[in-house]
Amino acid sequence: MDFTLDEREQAVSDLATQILTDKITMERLAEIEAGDEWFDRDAWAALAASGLIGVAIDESHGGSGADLVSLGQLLRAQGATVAPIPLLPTTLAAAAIAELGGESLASDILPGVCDGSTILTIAVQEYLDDDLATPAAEVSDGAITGQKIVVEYADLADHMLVSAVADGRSGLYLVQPGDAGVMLTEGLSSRLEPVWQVDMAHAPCVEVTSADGAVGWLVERMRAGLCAIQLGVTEAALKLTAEYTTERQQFGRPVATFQAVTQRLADQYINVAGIRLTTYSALWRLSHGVDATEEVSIAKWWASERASAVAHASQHCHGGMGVSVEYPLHRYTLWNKHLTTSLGAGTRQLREIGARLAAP
Amino acid sequence: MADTAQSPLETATGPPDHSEFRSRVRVFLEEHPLAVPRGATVDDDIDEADSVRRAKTFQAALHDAGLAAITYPAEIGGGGLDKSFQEIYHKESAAYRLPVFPLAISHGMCLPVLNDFGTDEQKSEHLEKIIRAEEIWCQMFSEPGAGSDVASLQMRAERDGDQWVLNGQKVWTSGAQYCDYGLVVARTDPEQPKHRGLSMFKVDLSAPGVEIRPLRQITGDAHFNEVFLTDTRIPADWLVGELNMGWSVAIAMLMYERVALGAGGVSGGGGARPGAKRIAELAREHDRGDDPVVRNALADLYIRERLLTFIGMRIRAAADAGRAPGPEGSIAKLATAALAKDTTELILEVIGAGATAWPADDDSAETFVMAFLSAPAMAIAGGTNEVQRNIIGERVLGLPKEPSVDKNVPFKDLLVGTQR
Ligand SMILES: Cc1cc2nc3c(=O)[nH]c(=O)nc-3n(C[C@H](O)[C@H](O)[C@H](O)COP(=O)(O)OP(=O)(O)OC[C@H]3O[C@@H](n4cnc5c(N)ncnc54)[C@H](O)[C@@H]3O)c2cc1C
Repeated sequence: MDFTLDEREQAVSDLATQILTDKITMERLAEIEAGDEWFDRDAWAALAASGLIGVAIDESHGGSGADLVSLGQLLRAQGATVAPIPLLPTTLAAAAIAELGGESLASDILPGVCDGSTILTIAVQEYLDDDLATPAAEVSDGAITGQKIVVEYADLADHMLVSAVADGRSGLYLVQPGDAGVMLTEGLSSRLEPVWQVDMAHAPCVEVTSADGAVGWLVERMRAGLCAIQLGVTEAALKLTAEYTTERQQFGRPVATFQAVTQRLADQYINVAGIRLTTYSALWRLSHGVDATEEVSIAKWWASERASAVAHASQHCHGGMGVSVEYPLHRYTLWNKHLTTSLGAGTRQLREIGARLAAP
Repeated sequence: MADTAQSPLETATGPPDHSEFRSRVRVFLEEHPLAVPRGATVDDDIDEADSVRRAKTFQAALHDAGLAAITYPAEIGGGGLDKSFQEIYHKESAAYRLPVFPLAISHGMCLPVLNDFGTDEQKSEHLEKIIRAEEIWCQMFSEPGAGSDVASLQMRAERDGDQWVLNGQKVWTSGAQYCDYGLVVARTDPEQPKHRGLSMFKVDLSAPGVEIRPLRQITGDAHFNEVFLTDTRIPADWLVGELNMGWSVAIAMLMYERVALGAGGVSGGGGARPGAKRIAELAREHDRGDDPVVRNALADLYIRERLLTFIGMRIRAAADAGRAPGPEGSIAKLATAALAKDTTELILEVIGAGATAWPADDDSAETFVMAFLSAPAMAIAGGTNEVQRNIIGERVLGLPKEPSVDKNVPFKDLLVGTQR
C-alpha cells in the first residue's frame, strides 16, 4: 500500500463528504439535539440513495462491493461532520453477516441495509468487562440471556448483533430489539447522545456464527472503524482551529502568530497525520486478509492518546469559545473524547502491544 | 448577625487563644449540616438556585460564628483576627466540603478588590454584605473582542452630569445569573493608549439596561453568561479606584483571581477536585488497585498535589503577611489546571468502559465524566496557560516583553473588535 487513495476510495470520500456537509449543517445538528431522535434520517436516506451505506457489501446483495478502506472513507466523512447516523454499527454488523453468516441470512438482511430501510446495531460491551471475546451473555434453546451496555441506536435498530456464549463457544447472534424478553434502558454516552442498556431474558435469537474468533473479528473491525471516524473528527477540529486562530485577533495580531499557538498546532498536525497513517494501514491489512492485530492496536492508540491531544489543543486555542456550545467545536471535542474511550483507550492498546512484544 | 464591631469570638479580655478558636471551628463544622466531611456521600444533584441558597445559609452562619473573612477588620464584618487564626480555619475546614462554590469569585476576587480600592462609603455599604453572602458579586472583564488582551476592551462609560452611562457587552461572566453586582471595567478615555483610559465600576445587575443571557458550556451547564449594558446609568460615585486607573485595579483583581483559582480559594479550603487518595479508593473498587500503570499515575498525582499544597501555603502566608499576591499565583494556576486535567483523565482510565456510557440514574459516572469535560476550561478561565507563562517569563525571569504594536497608540486609533 502507498497510503494514497485509489480512484474508487477517493470517489467514496468525495461523495460522502459532499452529501454529509450538505445535509449536516450546524443548524440541523442543533435541531436534532433538541428533538427526540438522535438520527438524521434525511442524511441516511441520501447516503443510501447514492449507494454509500452498502459500499462494502457485495453487489449480489445490492451493495457496491468495495472494501474496508472505502468504508473507512465513509466513516471519516461521518466524523468530519459529526453526523448522527448509525453508520458504524450498521455497516460492520452487515459485514459480519456477509462474511461470517450464512447466505440466506445475508440475502434476507443486506438488501435492506443497502437501500437504507434496515438499521443494525452491535451489542458486545458488558458492564466492567474489558475482555470482549468471552461474553457473559449465554445462549440456550435458541434464546439469549444477558446484559449489554453502550448499545447505540437500539431503539431504532431492526436487528442487534449480540455476542454471547453457547456450549462454551463465543459467537454472534441476531436479536430483534422489539421482541419479548428484550428490555431497553436509556442512558447517556460521553458524546451526550442516548445509548442503551439492553437486558435480555430468554430473548429469541438467530445464530450468525459460532466460529472461533468471530467476536474478535468484529471487535477488531469496530476498533478500526472508530479510528476512521476519529480521523475525520480530528481533521475537522484542527481545520476549524487553524481558521479560528487565523481570524481571531488579540494584542493587535492573529493569535495564530503567537508561537505558543503555532507550535502547538503544528504538533497536532503531526498527530492527525499519525492517526491517518496508522488507520489506513490497519484498514488496508483488514481488507487484504492480512493479520492486523498489531496495526489495529497501534491505530487505536493514536486515535485515543494523540487524538486527546488534538482535542485539548483545539479546545484550548479557541479560548472561551472552545468551552461554549454556541460554537461548533464542542461537538468535535465530545466525539473525540467518546471515541477515545470506546473499546479501550490508549493504555489498553499499549498493554496489548507490549504483551505481544515482550511475551516470553 | 453581630451588631457590635466586636468579633463574636472575642472575649472581654481580648482575642481567643488558638486552642479555643480551633475547638470553635471544629464544633461549628461538625454541627453545621451543610459542612460535609470529605469522603461522605453528598447529594450533588441539586439545581443552581439550591446551591446558591445553601451557600448563603452556610455563609451567614459562618459569619454569625465569627469565622467568615477572619483576617478582615471586625468593623466591616470580618473576624478581626490575625493570620494564625486563618491558618487554623484552613487546616480544620480542609477536611470538609463546604457549599461555598457560588461565592468563589465574590469572596476570592471582588471582596479584596473592594477592600483595597473601594471608597469608605462603598466599603461600609458592601463589605459585610459580601462577607455574609447577602450580596454576591461577579467579575465583568472579558468581552467578545477582548479576552487575553483584556485591555483592548470596548465597553464605554461616559459621564453625564452626576452619572456614568455604560454601553457595551461582556461575555463569559460566571455567575451573573445569580449575582447582585458586577465589577465592570469600562473605557473612560479612548484618547489614551489602551491600558490608560480604563476605569472600574460597580454595577447593579438589576438596573435598567442590564440584560443577562446564559451561555451553555460543553457539559450542558450554563455557569456563564453574556451581559449587555445599554444606556445603563450609575451614580458618579460608583467608580471603584481612581478615574482612568482601572487597569491597576483590574491587574490586582486578576492576581487575586489566580490565587483563588490556584490556592483552592480563600474561603473554600481546597477545591472539589477528588485527590489521589480518593482515586486510589476508586481504583480498588474497580479492581485496578494492583495495576502498575494506575499506581504510577496515582503516585505522580499525589506528588504534584503535595507541591500544590506547598505553593498554596506560601501564597496564603504572603497574603496574610500583607504582601500583594505575586507571580506564584500564575504558577499555582498553571499547576492546578494541569492537575485537574490529569486527575480527571486518570479517573476515566480507572473506570474504563463505565466512562463511555452510563445508565441515566448513575450520578457518579456522570459526575466524573462532567468533571473530565470541564477540566480543560481551567486552563482558559482567569487568563490562559500561555498568558500565565508570559507573566512568569516576563515578570519573574525578566525576559524581554513580547513585541507589541499597540501599547502607545491612542485606543480610538486601534483596530480592535468592532473598530476594525
Ligand atoms: C469557565 C470560564 C469562566 C470564565 N469566567 C469569567 C468571568 O467570570 N469574568 C470574565 O471577565 N471572564 C471570564 N472568563 C473569560 C476568560 O477570562 C477568557 O476566556 C480568557 O481570558 C481567554 O480569553 P478568550 O476566551 O478571548 O481567548 P483568546 O484571548 O482569544 O485566546 C485564544 C487562544 O490564543 C492564545 N493566546 C492569546 N494571546 C496569546 C499570547 N500573547 N501568547 C500566546 N498565546 C496567546 C490563548 O492562550 C488561547 O489559547 C471565563 C472563561 C471560562 C472558560
